[in-house]
Amino acid sequence: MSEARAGHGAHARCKALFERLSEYIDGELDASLCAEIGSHLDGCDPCKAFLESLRRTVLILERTPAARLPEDVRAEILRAAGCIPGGRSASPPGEVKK
Amino acid sequence: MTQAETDHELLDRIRRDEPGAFERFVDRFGGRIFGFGVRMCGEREDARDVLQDTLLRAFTSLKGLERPEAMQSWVFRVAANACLMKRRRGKFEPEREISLEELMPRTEDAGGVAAPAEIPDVSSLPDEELARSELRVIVRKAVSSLPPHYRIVLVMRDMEHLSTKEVAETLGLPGTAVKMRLHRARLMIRKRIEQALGGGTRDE
Repeated sequence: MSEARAGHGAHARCKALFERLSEYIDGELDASLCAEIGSHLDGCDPCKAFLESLRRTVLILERTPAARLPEDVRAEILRAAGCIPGGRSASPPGEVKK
Repeated sequence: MTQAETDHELLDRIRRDEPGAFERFVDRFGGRIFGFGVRMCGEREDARDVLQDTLLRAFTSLKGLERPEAMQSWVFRVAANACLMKRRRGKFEPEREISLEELMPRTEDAGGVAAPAEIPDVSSLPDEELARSELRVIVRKAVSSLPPHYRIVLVMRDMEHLSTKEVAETLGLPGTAVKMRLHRARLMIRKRIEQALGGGTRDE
């Protein structure tokens, strides 16, 4: 599914498999379709290259770190929520000062 | 409390008003909700509001949760609704499904001045280096640019590491819809990373 592949849209097989590539990456396809895609990829370098680029994209997303909860926000919430047994307080956490 | 405390056990303790139980709930989910909020809303202040809204709901409703094993889905559903409510207060954008045709690579894409940039392989990149890299900024902008109904699925699946089943349960969508939106979202992100690294500023 490379951009470099002229007339790619005309390749019906590539197009049909293109729709399932994320499921292929995630291992969510049944064995027969998985084998079919594997077999297609063996003979289609553009599709193989596109799959690799999509796989790398997913890895980047998975590894990009999330924003950390600021300590002051955590402290405010715990202060508001931790005043009585069970962590409940007269002032619910939604009333924490913003 | 040990790290082995399950959601089920934690919920039981919250129901019994055990000291510290709600604090552990905050420690278990607070960071994830905040991170989720930043990714969904794009702003730390909005994420802070989302966190507080979610905890307020948890404070008032968690005891009534019927299925303890669904606590994570429940938390993300509340947080997702809080994010979407923030969105509704802003720009109105109707939901529509993007066809695969719109996302298929086209030959003319390669016919421009520069060849498409290669997506970098981060598999061996240390965490600290990734955190400092321009990729983090590129990804943040790319995720923010997605339509919200695609963004939410992508963030939950690929960034919060929920399963397809969990996302489906959280958002009340069929698994097929989750998979369809995830795939389209990944394709959009892939293209935007490629464009950003290639120096282009094109957008759909």
